[in-house]
Amino acid sequence: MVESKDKIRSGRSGSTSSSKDDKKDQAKRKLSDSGSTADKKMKIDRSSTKSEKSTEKPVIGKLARQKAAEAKAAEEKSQTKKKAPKKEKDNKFPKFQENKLLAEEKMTLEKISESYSVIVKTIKDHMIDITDLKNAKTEDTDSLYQTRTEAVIAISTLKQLNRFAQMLTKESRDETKAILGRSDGVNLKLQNLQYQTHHLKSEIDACLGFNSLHKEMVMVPEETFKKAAPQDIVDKAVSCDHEMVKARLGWELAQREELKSAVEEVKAERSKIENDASRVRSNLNDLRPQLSTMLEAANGVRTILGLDGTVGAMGTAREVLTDPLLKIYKAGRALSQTRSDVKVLMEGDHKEAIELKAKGFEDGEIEQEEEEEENQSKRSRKKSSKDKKDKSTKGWYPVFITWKIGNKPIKFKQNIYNKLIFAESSESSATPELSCLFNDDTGRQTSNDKSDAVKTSFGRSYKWAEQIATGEAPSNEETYSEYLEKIVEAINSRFKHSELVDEHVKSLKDKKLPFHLSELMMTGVITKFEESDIYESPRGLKPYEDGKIFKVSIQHIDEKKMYAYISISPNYPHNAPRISVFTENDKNAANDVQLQYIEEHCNLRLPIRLRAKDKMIEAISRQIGTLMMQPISAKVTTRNRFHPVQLL
Amino acid sequence: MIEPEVLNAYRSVFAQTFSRNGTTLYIGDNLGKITIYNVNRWAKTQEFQTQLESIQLIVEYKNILIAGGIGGLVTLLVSEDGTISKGKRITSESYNTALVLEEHDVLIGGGPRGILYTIDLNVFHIIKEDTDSHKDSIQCSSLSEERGMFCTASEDGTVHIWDMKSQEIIRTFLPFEKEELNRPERGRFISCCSMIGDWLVCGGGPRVGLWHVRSGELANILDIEQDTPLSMFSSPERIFIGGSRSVVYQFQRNGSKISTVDASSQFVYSIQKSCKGHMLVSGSTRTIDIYKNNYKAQELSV
Repeated sequence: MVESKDKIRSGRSGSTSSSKDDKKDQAKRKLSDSGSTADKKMKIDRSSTKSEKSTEKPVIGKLARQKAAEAKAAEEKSQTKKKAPKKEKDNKFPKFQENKLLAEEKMTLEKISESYSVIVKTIKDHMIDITDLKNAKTEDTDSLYQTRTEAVIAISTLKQLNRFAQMLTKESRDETKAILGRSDGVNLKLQNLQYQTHHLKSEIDACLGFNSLHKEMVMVPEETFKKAAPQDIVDKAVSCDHEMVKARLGWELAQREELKSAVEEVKAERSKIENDASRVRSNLNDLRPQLSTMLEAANGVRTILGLDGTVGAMGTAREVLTDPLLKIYKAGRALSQTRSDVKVLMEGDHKEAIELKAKGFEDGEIEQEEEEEENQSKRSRKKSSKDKKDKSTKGWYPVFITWKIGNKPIKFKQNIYNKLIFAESSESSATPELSCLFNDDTGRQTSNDKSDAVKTSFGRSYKWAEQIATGEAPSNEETYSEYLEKIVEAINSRFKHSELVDEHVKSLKDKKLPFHLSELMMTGVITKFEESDIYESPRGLKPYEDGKIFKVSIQHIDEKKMYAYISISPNYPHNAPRISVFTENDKNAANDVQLQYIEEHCNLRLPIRLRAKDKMIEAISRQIGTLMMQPISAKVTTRNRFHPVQLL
Repeated sequence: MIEPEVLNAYRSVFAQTFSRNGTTLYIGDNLGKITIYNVNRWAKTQEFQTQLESIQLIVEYKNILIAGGIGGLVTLLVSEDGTISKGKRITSESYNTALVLEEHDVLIGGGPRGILYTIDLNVFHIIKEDTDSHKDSIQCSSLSEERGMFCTASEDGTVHIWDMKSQEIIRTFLPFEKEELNRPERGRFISCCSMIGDWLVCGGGPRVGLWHVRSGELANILDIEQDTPLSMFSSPERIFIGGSRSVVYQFQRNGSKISTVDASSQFVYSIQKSCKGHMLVSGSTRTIDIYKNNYKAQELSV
């Protein structure tokens, strides 16, 4: 800047005046400048060579060229001479090291800041002086140059300060970085420690909250333990609760191991006994045909000797029962030997049975005889029929079998007309208790008019009863004894579920759902729950055969009423009740989309979900709950406007 | 196990679709089953249980069948003899309606949430969810391939016409705002729509109207008295409308009613026409009525 200003200044001066003083001033200025910078030196040099050239311009020819060459060579020599001492100078002065300088100067940022203020002030002062000198247009150029030189020196110092400041900043930064590194390391260690603390705390919590399995174990009470366990174990355990628990567990384990070994011994003994029993049974079975032959022979001897009857209970049964009833009796006796809840009885008029058998009941002669009688006159047929009924207890074989399962007696009777076996536990034939024990087995399969005539008085001709009377299993997949077990289980289950139905119906009659469904937001209440004789379903759904039918009335919060017929299956809750919904304004599942969906949900989707969750016992509660939570809408018109709701 | 009697009592048929060659009929019901019939013999060839709770739509794309409804959207592989086997589930979002734009390899559909989804059929991924176009359940959609348009109808009362190429709305119809169609006591919802060429038929809460799409004008009112339309089918000659009174109405484009034929179902949910000219009507029962020249020729059942 100074140089350019000078140039400008020199240019201007050159243009304004061409006096010799000015030229001298310019030369002096150039000389003074040459000491400040190398560039200026070069300029001065160039100016000098120019001046030399200008002076040598008029010399033309070989001599002049030689002189110029010599001068050039001399100049080069002088330059090489100049370079050599520079190297010596370098050797004299060791390599400049800023850091050392900084250390020597003992510079701090505060010092730099102070020096900076001073230098800036100095520069300002010099600038003011220069300006004043220039404005004064004094001829004292030396003082101007002096001031300017001082200003330039101050600027150099400023630059030095700047350099120091940068170095100090760098040092500070490095230091900060090092400190930060150390700090990070410490932080990391702290975090690791914190994590370890947290982990240990959670471990401690886990340990404290550990739900040991021993809490669920039923152990010998502490008092019993103290009495039964050896004294040294008890003494050790008294010190604290933990030791006590450990001791009790140890004692329990020892006791259980003892018991286990005892059980194994007993099992082995049992197995041995069973093997013996099996062997004995096998021997007995071998004896059976021999005994049978002997019995027949004995009975023959008894007949010859004029003594009536056969030997033993089975002998009596064989004497009075028909073949199907005998097989049912035998099956009952077999069951009673294996199950404590089954007992078998043979009831009825033995004498009449023997008479009937003697007349050839089992060979079909009675039926034939009756058919012949039917062809006779009305009077004689009536008389004959009356006699027959008197003799056969109104169409039944005089002796019947009773299986007592639990407290419920199940009677097996044989119809004298069609020879079918009828069974039932209920006193009233209108309310059979064993209908549909197995798939659709309503006991109404026969189309025999005669059986229809008698079936109103007692029971049904169930397939399972007929199957028992055959003495064989229905398929090769199971044995006869397994089939009998299955029937007894099914009957037991039926009696149990029948009690459940009664419970649920009682609850509903009290206008309460059998199961409390707090998750359903119900907007209606049950106003009536009563038995019904009719069941109407516009969707074509039929009520369960031999099931119970009820009608439920529900009043919603908006005063609208909804009704539903409910058919409860004899296999409730295995089969979900069938609901048929309608409203007071004759809307039903066939003419209203929403009611269709409600019915579909109750009868189809709900049972599928309940069965999957093994909650069929809640079926009727959830079905009626669904009716209670659904508002009646008259505006539902499209299939999609009523979105399915998750009711379970 | 649910007794067959109960299953049959509550079976409704929501979707019927013919295969491209017209030889196979796919029927979707409310139990999530697809029943397949051979059209030449009208004989049941397969009954397939899908993963869906209920099937509302069946569309065909290349050699796969896409079924949608309550429980999502699933693909089913179709063999050469027309039988189907299990594919994969595309989404679990419920769908009421969908259509395939074969040229663009995309499926466009929507359901109870009112969101219109675009699914890339090359990868079976949802590539776009349009939540703004409809404010309520999307009920029905229909394609007019010859004009490069399709329409979607919603519970909110709007029917949007879309450009197939850009998939942008080009026109919106609001039938409930038309005085001639408005039935305020029923609401503004549109339950079904159908497009043929430049013509759109739609109805629901409002009466059924025939609209000219380009001009946006109501051309005719198709009078089905107090009934509510549930399904529609348009052919170049006829417009068929199924309602909630176990009948199917037939109209000409000039608005004149040609006939009213009885259906087995109280609510008619689907009307289709076979390439042989049979009209198939299904609804809230398991029976599908087949009509030939307006006379019931046969009944199928699922």
